[in-house]
Amino acid sequence: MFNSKRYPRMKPELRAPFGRLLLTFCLSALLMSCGDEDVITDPPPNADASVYILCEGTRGADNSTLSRWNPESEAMENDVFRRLNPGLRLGDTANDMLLIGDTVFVAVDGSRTIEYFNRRSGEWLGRIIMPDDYSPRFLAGVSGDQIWASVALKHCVLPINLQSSTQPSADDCIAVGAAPEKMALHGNLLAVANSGFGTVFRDHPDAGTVSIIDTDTQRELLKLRPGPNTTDVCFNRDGTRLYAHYLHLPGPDWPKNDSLAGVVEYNVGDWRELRRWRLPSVMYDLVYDEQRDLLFTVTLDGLVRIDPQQEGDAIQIVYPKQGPENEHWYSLAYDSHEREFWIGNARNFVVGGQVLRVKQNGALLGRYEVGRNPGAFLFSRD
Amino acid sequence: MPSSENEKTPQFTEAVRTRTPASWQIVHREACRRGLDSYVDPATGYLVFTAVYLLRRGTCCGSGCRHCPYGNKTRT
Repeated sequence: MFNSKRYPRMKPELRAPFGRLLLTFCLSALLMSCGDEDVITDPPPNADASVYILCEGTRGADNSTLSRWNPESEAMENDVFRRLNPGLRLGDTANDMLLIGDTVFVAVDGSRTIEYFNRRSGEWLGRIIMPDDYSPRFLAGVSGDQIWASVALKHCVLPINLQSSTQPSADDCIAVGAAPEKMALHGNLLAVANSGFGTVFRDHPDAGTVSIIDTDTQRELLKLRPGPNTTDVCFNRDGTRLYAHYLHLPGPDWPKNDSLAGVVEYNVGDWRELRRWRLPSVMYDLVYDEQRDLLFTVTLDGLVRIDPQQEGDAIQIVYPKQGPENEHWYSLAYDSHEREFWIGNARNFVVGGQVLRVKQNGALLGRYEVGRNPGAFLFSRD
Repeated sequence: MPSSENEKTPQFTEAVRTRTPASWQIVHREACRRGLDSYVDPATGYLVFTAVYLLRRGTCCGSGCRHCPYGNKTRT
């Protein structure tokens, strides 16, 4: 630290105190700069209502963050988990959030944990540590004592007892198809989208399937085969229909003449395929509007609506994609209370992300800067 | 956007052909969504590092990677 060559004429007995002083000054400055100056101590103006946005960060960099949007002030606060809980970070590659009562559960894939915090205060409540090599990718659950975590690289889904104080056991993981990702729960039926993890397990015989699990018996009832790279599933309002999304991945026979992606409708019970909407565009994510019985997805063209009640031209663009060509819409959620869509824009995956707030009629209400790779949304309300 | 349900009209087929993005764009997005370090380019079979991996690497290797986050894309 102290460069004696630079001060050759300084007496040796003077150098040491000066060096110590300089060192102390530098350390103090360093400590002050690392201090929690941005810690949030006051509760938000309306703690009962907020929208949480989970930003994955960059895998391996331990930089997942949580943003919070306040409906009253319409202001976005970034990195709130760390700022509300000094000394804590979310971890590496936080993928998904789930609200049970007043508790928000966060699946942190890279850290192999499920963190949970109070939705009003943001206060961290605890951590579930997954078994070795069993990284949680997505979560499902409605209420009660049990949630489900998909473990993509182990090809299974793990039921987690929230009342138990012991670590979940790998022995309890229920085998499904290849690389389970998103899930949907209705009654005692859990639908699991087994994507095949993009191209990683695309040749696996059970890639591009949906596993139907009876949560009472914790057994897989059957596998549906909507199409390759099935990443998303959802039930309709009364649980009589199941929708699954698929995406053809580039390969020898690509592009398909019939579609690039699509949605398949199944009749719950006998699991017959009822309809198949084919899209001439790449398509990601699937959300369901319970009030209007409509499906929404994002394509290269923009936010798209699929009306299951419509016999003819069922697919329409609600909000066309605008902006630079490298804009990557990364995630989609629907706030049924406010009737608004939230679209996560990852841009080029390596810079800060952005979220778009779009009214159901297609009006853009706002764009907000958030953390890197915004992948999940959670609407917290009384 | 043309739409169709269980139909393979010539217009629909043409829409698929003309509106198909570069194949690597799709597999790159799928790889980044899953935090993967690389993907196989569908056209050439070459292994391509994802932008996520290159960022985590920390420095530019100077090879002109397709997804270089440091601005060195001279070879693509």
